[in-house]
Amino acid sequence: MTPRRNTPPAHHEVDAAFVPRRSPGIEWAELDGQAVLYDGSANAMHVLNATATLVWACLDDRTSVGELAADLSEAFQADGATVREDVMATVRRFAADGLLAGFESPDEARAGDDTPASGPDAPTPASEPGAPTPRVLAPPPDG
Amino acid sequence: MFEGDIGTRYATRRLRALGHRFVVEADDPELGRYLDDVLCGLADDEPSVTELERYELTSEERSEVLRHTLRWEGHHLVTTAHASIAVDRLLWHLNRQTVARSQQHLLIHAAGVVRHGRGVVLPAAQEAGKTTLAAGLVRHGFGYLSDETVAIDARSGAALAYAKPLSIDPGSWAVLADLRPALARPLQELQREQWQVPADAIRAGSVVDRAPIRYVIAPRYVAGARTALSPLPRAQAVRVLAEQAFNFRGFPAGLQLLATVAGRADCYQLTVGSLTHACELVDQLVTDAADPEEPRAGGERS
Repeated sequence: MTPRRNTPPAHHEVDAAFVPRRSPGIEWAELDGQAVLYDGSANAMHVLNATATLVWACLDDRTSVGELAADLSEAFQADGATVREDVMATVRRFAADGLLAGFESPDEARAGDDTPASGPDAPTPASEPGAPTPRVLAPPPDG
Repeated sequence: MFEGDIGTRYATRRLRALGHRFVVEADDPELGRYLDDVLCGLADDEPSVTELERYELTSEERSEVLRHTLRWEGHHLVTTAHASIAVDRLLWHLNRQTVARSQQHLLIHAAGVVRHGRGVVLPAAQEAGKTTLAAGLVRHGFGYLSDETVAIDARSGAALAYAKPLSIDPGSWAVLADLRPALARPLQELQREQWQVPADAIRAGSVVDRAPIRYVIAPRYVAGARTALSPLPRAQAVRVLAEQAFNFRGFPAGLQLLATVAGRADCYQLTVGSLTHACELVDQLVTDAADPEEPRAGGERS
């Protein structure tokens, strides 16, 4: 069995032994099987698809990526390798978006590093990020 | 506090825009009466409150040119040769103060209307057609909450009114031609760039104080497009509402509040190509749901 690892690696190095923990700054709610997450530190909103919602809801600070994939594979009687690949990609995406403890949000990462948060080999997006822009009323009329 | 003519000055009735209570005084009685009329949807029926902020609009001839000066609580806001600019600035400042004074509510950049006691919130960015749609819906028989900002009460999740006059841009004058304000000649300059139309002038008694939110409909005007309502997943509706909120960041349990609101509502996107058709679609949606005999449909309507 692969030893469990709690120390966050770089998001693209997340492997089966990694134990993902939700970032404490994330508020979330689930509506009709879709999770919506708000990252207050980055002022970013994420709406997860059904698969990502399932993975997000299962994060319990104890279960590794590999164990979670095995559990889901058994629960849904789905192909183990495929589920493992999907869960891995989803967790990596969570990490890249700064939704997991120990990972910076893309904005924070950009502030200290010129490397793009996602590259050409980034996993299929599990979430659709969007920033609730602090709104300022239009400038005053002329005069 | 006096209302109406005070010597040569005119004071509007007491006005309330959510948490912003104020009165406007003008030394031009005609201008004062105009403001009293267009702001009538904000009439404050709680006379016990004495703390009112005061706007002053004064006109003075300098070097044979009439200059209009707007002050708020004694602070100079603008001096201009055009009364329309002073009035526009007053309404702009009023919007800002309303947002600043109402932070206990989650404030959404949205229009809001009511039908059969069911609130409809229409969140959208600038230029998406919120005001035009709200004007069309009020004309169609809906009650009016706002064309600019809907406040969500944090305890009940209900929509609270900010019943400012509907500010109708020239691009919508043709489809709302019957709403053109009939102003006497000296005041016609005031509607050169925008019509300010109180909801009561569209349909008497249309202003509603508050309503439970039963629909979240994100409108988007697309010239020439087929008018259609299509379902919007509730999680996406939460995002739309958050993106259009003035004070989402830092609002206590803001996400949970929006999730509660969206969870109780049916949520749609509305592409508006025809105002008349859009109003009929929204009316049909709300009226069908209010009628227990009619089955509810969750699919696209066009």
